[in-house]
Amino acid sequence: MLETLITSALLAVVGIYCVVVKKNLIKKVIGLAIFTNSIHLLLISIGFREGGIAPIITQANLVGFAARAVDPLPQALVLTSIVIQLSVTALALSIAILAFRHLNTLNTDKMNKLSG
Amino acid sequence: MDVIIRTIAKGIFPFIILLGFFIIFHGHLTPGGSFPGGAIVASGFALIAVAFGIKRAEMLVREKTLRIMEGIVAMIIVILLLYESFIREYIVSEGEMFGFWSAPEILSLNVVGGIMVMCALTLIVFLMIKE
Amino acid sequence: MILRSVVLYLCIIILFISIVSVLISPVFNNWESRDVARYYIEEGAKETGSANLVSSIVWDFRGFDTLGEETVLFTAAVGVFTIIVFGLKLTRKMG
Repeated sequence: MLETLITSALLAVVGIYCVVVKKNLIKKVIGLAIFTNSIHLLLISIGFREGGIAPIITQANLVGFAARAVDPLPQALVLTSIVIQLSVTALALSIAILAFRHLNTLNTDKMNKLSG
Repeated sequence: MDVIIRTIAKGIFPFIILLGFFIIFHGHLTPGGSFPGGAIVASGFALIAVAFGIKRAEMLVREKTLRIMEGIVAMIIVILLLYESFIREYIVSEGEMFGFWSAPEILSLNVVGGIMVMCALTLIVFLMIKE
Repeated sequence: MILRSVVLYLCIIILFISIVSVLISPVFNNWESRDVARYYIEEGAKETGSANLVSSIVWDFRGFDTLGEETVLFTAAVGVFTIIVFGLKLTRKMG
């Protein structure tokens, strides 16, 4: 429980550091993905339950299912969030491709042309 | 790529597609659903595109076909979701609990959503490889 | 670099604040106060007929969320196509 929390906070720190400090655009996109994954880990760990099982009914765990299953709502919301993260990553990568074709560099310190 | 990657990709490609469609079609009984299944099928196409080049992958499924199919499938998904939200309560269908036809609405939505995810991811991968 | 160390200290402060704030929140690890989860677990399979409760929530109880998600996916595909095919022309024209 606590270790999941600490892992997600550490991943969030790594992601923020990577987005703010790194100069390469691709590395910034990777940092954004790490930060989003840390938030997914935190949301999944909200549905924690002691000795829980997956929220899928089968013939084997039909008896006493409601007393043991974990919360299925954060999992569904994280499934939505993963798709949105994928869309954001794809758009950011295509914008990085466009910046490289337009300016011939990926370094954000060298992107200092004002026009033309 | 070299001959080892090409041989393994050729051998493993039908099984990746089969696994993806199994996960899509059993989304209401087993773990998985529309998004993981569609991502697995798209990863199969991406494997072919990486191993054999974009020309051979376009012989399998063309980019224009993917664009048209994604538009049509997006329209179908809107109609199905509106149908399920507003009209379904009056024509509820009954099925046994663990059978394949236990939830026909969720099955149809899973199939349509999986095809849409497959088209979108394959289109994105093909466009990025072409650059 | 001064920026690098400032950002690092700021990130460590954010780490401690986030851990403490989640640990003292009333939602965390408190199963008795969750009526929505209990309703989904007990009645979800009966109402929708699906054995996979996550799938029933995604496509049935919260169907409009999923409609928005598919819209985002469609928009991302169209946006990537537009940027890659027509992007350079537009940026050259704008200067």
